[in-house]
Amino acid sequence: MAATVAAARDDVDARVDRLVRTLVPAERPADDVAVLAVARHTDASLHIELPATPVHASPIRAMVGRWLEARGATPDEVADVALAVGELVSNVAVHAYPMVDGRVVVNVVLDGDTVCVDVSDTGSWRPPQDRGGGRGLGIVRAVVEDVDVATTAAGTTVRFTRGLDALRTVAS
Amino acid sequence: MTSDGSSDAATFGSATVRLGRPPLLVAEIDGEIDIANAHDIERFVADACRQDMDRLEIDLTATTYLDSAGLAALVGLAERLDAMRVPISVVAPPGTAAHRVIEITGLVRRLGRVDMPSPG
Repeated sequence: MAATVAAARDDVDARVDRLVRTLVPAERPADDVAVLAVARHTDASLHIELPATPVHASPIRAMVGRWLEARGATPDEVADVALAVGELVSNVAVHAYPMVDGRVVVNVVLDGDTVCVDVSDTGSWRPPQDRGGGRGLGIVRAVVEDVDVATTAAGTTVRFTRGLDALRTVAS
Repeated sequence: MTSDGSSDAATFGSATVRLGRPPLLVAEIDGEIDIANAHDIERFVADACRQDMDRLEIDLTATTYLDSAGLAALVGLAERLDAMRVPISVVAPPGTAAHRVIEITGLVRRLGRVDMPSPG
């Protein structure tokens, strides 16, 4: 697998395609196959794109949490951002299910001492009245800042920010 | 599910639920409760509840993640026990993931007696 990935010098989608073609039998596989690709464009951002299913919520939270920890966020800050991301990914997953092609995209960017996150769904399968409502969004608004919900024909993106005290101290 | 004679335990994805025995049914939940397992955990605990038991205590001390999906499961259990006229209590000490979310959402009263004393 490492050789397959290392040989790829193109973008993430092409790498995943090559990986699946190389490792998965051409005939119908015996089990579901999930390939997770994380492209770290630079040290200051994290990009995750996965099928929008409930089982992916936990690994997405873990990836975002580890990424923030590695950049000096405190345990409370990591927990709050993971909670917000978890709520938003769940919101996408619950409405995507049982659609097979719904995906959730999470982008995390560090801008000075502030982390900026957006969680998007792709596709227009969610009825507008179901977008962004319920107890989940209330929790998001309580634990992070500048929560903004933007809905277009292409899907919904929820953005938020969170100041990171540890980085503020380092910067000053 | 395994049984060692004194308790039942079952794993649901990233969470493990250990059940004591009535009349005081303690459900100790370790790990993460989220959209992937909340419904199954709710059903597992609900199935163990009996009309003649004294109380259900849900211990979230070792729960490392709880969000609105898990809260919906807790509220579902509280409603079921209300109908059975059996008291429910939730243990979520300060500093735990569960304490934070229960406090934010103001669900303390809805979840019966919530044992989350103030620090200090």
